[in-house]
Amino acid sequence: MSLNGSVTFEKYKLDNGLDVILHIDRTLPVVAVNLWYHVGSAREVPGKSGFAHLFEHMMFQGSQNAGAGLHFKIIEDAGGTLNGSTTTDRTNYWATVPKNYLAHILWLESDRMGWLLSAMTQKKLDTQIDVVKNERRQNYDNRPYGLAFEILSKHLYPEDHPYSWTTIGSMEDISNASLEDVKSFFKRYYGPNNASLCIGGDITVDEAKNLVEQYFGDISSGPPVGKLVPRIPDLDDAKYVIHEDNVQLPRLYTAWHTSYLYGKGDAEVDLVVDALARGKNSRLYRSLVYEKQIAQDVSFFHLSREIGSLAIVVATARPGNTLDEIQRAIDEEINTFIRDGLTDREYERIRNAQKSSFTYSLQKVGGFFGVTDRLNEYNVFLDDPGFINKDLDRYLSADKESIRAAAKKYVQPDKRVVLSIVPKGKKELAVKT
Amino acid sequence: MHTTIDRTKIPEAGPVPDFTLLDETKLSRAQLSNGINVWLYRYKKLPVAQVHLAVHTGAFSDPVEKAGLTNLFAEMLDEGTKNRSALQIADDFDFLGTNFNTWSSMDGCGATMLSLREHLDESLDVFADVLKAPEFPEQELARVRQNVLTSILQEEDQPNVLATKVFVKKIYGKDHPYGSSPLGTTESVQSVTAKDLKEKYKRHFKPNNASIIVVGDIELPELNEKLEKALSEWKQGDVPKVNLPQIPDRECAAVYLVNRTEAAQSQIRIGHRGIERTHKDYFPVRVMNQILGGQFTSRINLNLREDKGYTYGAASIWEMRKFGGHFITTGGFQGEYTDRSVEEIMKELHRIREEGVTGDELEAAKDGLIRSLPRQFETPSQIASQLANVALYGLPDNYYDTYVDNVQQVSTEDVKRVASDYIHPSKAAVVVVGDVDKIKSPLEKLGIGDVIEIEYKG
Repeated sequence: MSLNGSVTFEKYKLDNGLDVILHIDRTLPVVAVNLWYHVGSAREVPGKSGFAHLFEHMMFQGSQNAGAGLHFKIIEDAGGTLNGSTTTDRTNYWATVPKNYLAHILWLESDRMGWLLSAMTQKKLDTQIDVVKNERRQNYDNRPYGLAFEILSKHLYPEDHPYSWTTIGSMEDISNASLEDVKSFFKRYYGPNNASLCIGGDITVDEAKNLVEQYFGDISSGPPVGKLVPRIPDLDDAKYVIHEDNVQLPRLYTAWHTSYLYGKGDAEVDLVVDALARGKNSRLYRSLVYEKQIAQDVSFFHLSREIGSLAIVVATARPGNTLDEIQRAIDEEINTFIRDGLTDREYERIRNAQKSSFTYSLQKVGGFFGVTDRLNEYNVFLDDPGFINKDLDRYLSADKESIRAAAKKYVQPDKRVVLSIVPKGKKELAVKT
Repeated sequence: MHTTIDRTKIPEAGPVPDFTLLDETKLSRAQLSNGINVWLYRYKKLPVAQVHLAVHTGAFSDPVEKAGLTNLFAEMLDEGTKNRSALQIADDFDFLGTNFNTWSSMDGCGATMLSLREHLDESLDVFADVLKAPEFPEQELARVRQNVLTSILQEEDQPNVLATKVFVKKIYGKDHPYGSSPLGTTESVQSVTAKDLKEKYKRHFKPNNASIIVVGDIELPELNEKLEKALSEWKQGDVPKVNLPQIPDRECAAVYLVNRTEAAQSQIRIGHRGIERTHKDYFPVRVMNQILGGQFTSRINLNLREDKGYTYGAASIWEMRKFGGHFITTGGFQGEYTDRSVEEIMKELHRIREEGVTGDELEAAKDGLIRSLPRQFETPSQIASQLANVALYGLPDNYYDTYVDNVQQVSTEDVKRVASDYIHPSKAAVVVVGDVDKIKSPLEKLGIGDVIEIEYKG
C-alpha cells in the first residue's frame, strides 16, 4: 500500500484458470488468504434452494488428505481466524494466520478444491443438514422479523428468478439435499477456473507464487461457468403484503428494484441512500426518529447484486404509531428529495463520508470486507482488482442532479413492494392499501 | 516449475515470525494537567486517527432502582452541549467524515472516534466539547428515554436476550448492579432524571478517573499540546468509591423456564458465579476455556454442533469484570433436543473438572492464544480497545510484554485445578427459554434440580 492510499497488487492466472492476486502489507507478521468461488444461490434451481450455502458447510468437513475436523483445528491452533459466507452471487472462504502458516492454508484450500468428493459421507451431510436447519431456526424462523427478506424476495421477483428465494433456502429443500447433489454441484461450480484466490499481508511474492503453483497447479479445470445476465423485473404496480410475527412492534419494509452491481446508476442510488438515512441529520432519520418521533429506527440500504439490486427502507414504529403514518412520512421525504434534490451541505457531507469510508475500508487486510476480500470482489465481478483504486471516483463524479435523477428513476411510489410485519392479531397497524 | 509436494502430509510451519506487541518505540504514555492518562500509539499505515476515551465509571455504580442510568448517560452525552445542539454535533462530525460514538458497559463508559488524520484537530474540538460541556437537555432526554424504553420492549422479542437477562439476575441477585440489564427496566429508566445524569457527570465523569488512547500518525508533544488545549476546562475532582454487595453463592442447581409457545429452538444458558478480571488465575482460566467452549474446535461446540447437529453453535464464556464475574455456556438448540443439549453441556462441565485436559489439548490451546495476538492489533480501533482494557481494569503496564510467558506457564495441573475450583455444575443456574409444554417434563427427568417456571416481565 502506498501512502496516498492506493492499493498495490499483482494479478496472474494459472494454466487451469485460477486467478491469483497477491497484495503485500507488512504491518503485521500475518497473512490473509481469501478465496472466492463465483457461485451463490442464484445458481440454484427450484427444489434445491439453500444448496450453495449447505455446500459451503460441507467444504469444512474434510477432504481426501485433510481429514474431518482438521480445517478448524489447524487454523485455531495456529492462532488464526476463519470463516466463509454465501450470498446470491458468490461463496467466499477466508483465513487469517501468522505468516509461517501460509502453506497450511494453501494446502487446506487446494485439497478441498481438488480432492473434496472422496471424503464426503452421508453421515457428514446429515449432520450439516441438521446444523443448517438450526441456523435457519435461529436466524430466520425464530428471530423477530427474521422472515422479512424471504417474503420480500418472493414478492419482488417472479418464481423462476433465482433471487426469488434466499440463500438459506427452505426447510424442505435443505432436508432433501443428497450426496449426489454435493457431487454434481462441486463438479459444476468449484473448478479453479471459477475461483479467485487473493493472498495478502506479510508475504514474499516469489514464495507465494511457488506455493500457489505447487498446491493449486495440478488441479484440473472444471467446465466453463458463464456469467449471469442482469434480469431486473419491472413491477407494474405497488404490492402490499402483511405478515404477522411474534413481535411487540410493527415494522415497515419498502423495497424497490434499482440497477445492478456496478451498473449504471448503482453508485448514485448508494448516495441517495446515504442522504436519506445515514446519520442523525439524514432526512428520514431526522423526520421520523428525531422530529416526529413516530419511529424507533429507520434505515435505508442498497443491496447491490450481480443481476439486480434492491433499495430497501426499514422502519420500526414506536408504540402507538401505525405503519401508515410511517409510510406517509417516508413518502413525504422521498418526494421532496425527488423534487428538490440535495442541498449543497448535504452533497458535501455525503461525499466526505464516502471519501473517509474509502480510507477506513483499507484498515483490515483479511476477513469480510478486508482488502483481500475486496480485491476478489472487483476481480470476480469486473475482472479488474485494480478497480479498488477507482471505485471512489464513481461516487465523487456523481453530481447533485444525477443523484436526484437516480432517486426519481428508481424510487417510485407505484413500483414497489410494501411489507408490513405486525404483531399477531394486529393487522390494523399495517399500511392500508 | 512443478515441484511435487506430498499432499498426504500437513505442511511444516516455517520459523516463528519475530514480532513485538505494542512496540515500545511506538507506545508512549503521559498525563495531562487535569489528571487524565494519555496513551499514544503511533500508527502510520493509513492517514487516520482513532481516539478512545474510557472513563472508569460504568453501570456498576448505578443504584439498582436506577438501572440503565449509565446507558442513558452515554446515550445523552452527545445530545447537546453548552455550544452545540444535538443535531449540530452530529452534523459537525458527519461533515468531517468522522465516525463518533459514545459507549457504556458494566465497568466503564466514554466515547470513540475515527477520523482522517487531516481532520483530527477539528474532530477533537467537537469530541472535547462533548466531554467537557454536556447539557443533558430535557427535551432530548424525553426522546432518548422513549427510545430506550422501546428497546426494552423489543427485548421481549428476542429469546436470546431474554435468556441472558434472566440468567444474570439469577446469578447476581436483585441487589447487585451486575444483575441488571444494561438498558435497565421500564420502571428504572422512567425514574432517571436529567438531574441524575448531571449528578453522575459531576461525581464520576472526571478526567482523573479516565484514560484517553490515541492511535495515529502524531508525536506525543504535539498530541499533548492539542489535548491540553482541548480538555483543560474538563476539571478534576474527587471520585466517590462505590461499594458493591457480595455476589451470592448458589446452594444447588436449578432449572428456570421461560415460556415461548411453539418456539422452534430453546435458548439455553448454564453457569454460575465466576471471577474478576484481575484474578490471579486469569491465564489458566483462559486456557481452560479455550478447550471447553472458547472457540470452534472446543469440546462443547464440537460435541453439540459438529457431532450431534443440535445447534448452529455453542460456546462457554467467562465474563470477567472489575468486581467479579460469571461463567456462562450459551447457545440456541433445536427444541426437541433441549434436554439432551442440557445433558451434554453438563457432561462437558463435569468431564473437564473431573478429568482435566490432555497435554495435546493444552498445548494447542496455548499455541492458539499466543499466536492469535498479533492479528488482534491490526486496526487502530483494535489497538485502542486493547489499551483501553489495560487502563480500565488497571492491568500492569507490562501486561502484553508478559502475556506470552503467562500463557506458557499454564500446566495441565493448573487447568484441572481451576476447572474443579471454578466450575460447579452442581450449583449451576440453568435458564431455558423455549416451549414449556414440550420441554418441561424431559428437563425434570434429567434430575438436575428443581424445574421452576418463571414469568418474564421487562
